[in-house]
Amino acid sequence: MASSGIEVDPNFKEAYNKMKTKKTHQLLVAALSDDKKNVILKEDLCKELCSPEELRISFKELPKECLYAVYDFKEKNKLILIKWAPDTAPASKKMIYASTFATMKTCCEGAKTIEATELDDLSVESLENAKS
Amino acid sequence: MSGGVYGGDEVGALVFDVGSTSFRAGFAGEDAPKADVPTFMGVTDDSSKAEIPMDTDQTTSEKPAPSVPKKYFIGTNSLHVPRENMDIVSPLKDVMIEDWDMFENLVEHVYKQHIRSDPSLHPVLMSEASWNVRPKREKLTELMFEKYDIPAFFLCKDAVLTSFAHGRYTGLVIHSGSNLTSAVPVHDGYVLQNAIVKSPLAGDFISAQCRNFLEEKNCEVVPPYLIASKEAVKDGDPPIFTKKNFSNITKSYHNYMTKQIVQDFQASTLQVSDGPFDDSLFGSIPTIHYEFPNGYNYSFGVERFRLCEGLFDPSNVKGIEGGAAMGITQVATTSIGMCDIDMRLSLFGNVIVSGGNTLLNGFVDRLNRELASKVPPSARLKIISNNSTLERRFSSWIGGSILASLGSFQQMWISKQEYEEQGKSCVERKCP
Repeated sequence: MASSGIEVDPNFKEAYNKMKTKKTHQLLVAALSDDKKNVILKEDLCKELCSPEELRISFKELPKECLYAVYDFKEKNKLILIKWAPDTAPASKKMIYASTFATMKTCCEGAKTIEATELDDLSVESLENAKS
Repeated sequence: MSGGVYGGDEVGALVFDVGSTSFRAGFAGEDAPKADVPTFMGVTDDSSKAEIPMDTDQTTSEKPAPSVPKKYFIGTNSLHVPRENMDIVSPLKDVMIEDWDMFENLVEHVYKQHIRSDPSLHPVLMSEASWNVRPKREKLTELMFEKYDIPAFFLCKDAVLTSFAHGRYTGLVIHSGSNLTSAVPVHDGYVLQNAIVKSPLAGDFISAQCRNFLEEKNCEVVPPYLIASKEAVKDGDPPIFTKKNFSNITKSYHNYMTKQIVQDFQASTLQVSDGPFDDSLFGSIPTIHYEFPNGYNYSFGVERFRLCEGLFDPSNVKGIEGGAAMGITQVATTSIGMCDIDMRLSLFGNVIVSGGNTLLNGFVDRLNRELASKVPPSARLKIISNNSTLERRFSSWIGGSILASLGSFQQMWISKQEYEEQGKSCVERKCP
């Protein structure tokens, strides 16, 4: 498979493990670093509490950005790794986020996944249907 | 980090994307390929001529020359010149490399005329057909390292590149080029080999339909190389023109040049109808005027729809044996049907359309409409297609360009050292 070789920053892994065991956050957001070498934690976008509605709102204003997020869907007690890559984002970003997704998945052990390209993909129904 | 110093922004990797119509080549990180060379090439074979006099001329003491090399004419400019006994051939068959001698000449041409830099300085990322076979992949790896001495190499399935370039980690890639229409499911970044479905109903098929139709209309398609002069004639009148004379022009050359015109005709006039085509419904549609190089011009009406209907509904098409060919919608649904039931929903939700043939007017709309009727009630259909011609035709090149320009991609390349240590079989391990 064509993998980008981009690695995940230890900071994010740590935050994910805390989220998993201690429920410190309900939403973690990670993005590609400026030098395109690592996926790093975006602390300013992370939230301790976040309802599914707030989750959608936080992605609403990002039609040209790609992101990764981990959401703790408390209603069904599951963690969901989200790849946000809207069709309106530039091809270079979409390519990088798609080709790094495999690495993200191994990092977020135990999480279900959603590949979201529009807000509909983050509806409560989609969250419920998320599979690993 | 075995790839070490190679790859990435520092060295300027090259991206090669070989399709059935053209060979796209350029530097990684750029938005579009630098060169788009026809995959077809002209070849004159002088070896037969050279040998005959040698056999009869007993006095010559020279050994028969080690068969005079074939002469190749590559690139649009030299390809389009009418030459005696020049055949037009393609090194590819089924979008896989078949004739390695020709292919080497093509790569050589790209390096010399377009890249203009020493091959040993640039790592190469190459796309391949998703159904490429192991011996050919290994042979290609060997060729690139041994002949061009490249520092690093990577081989990637074109469907994966296309799907990634659209931001999809999972999706169904429908590619309709000149030679083939294929549906390739990509799941978690891997091609599901046993669910690939191919059909010959693609661009060349439409060209053949157009030629038959024009022949029936008694409209001879005369490529420009044969035309010495012409006069303007009225709509539908027989053309008035004089022909140039050439001797020993091969049939394949004439066909190739004629196809160029037919393809232009196709792109300018054809339109895929919204739903199943019915002659009676299209009586009053607007016509499109087209003038052929010999001056013949005509306003095409209902034919515009009829000629490409076969892509979607092959049942009424003449010249296909026993329903062997599938229409495009059927290619897509068959492929999805062969995948695991859990994946089907996400494949329907991520149908990616690429390839030059999909640029026919109305193609995507029709596919959308037809697939919508086949989607299970629980699934949501989404068809993704780039609007720009460039991105639609070059989607896999663009994907490769982004990937190969990443600094972090360094560790993914097969380095020369790895090749030397492990041999050509390392391509299976590094680029599955």
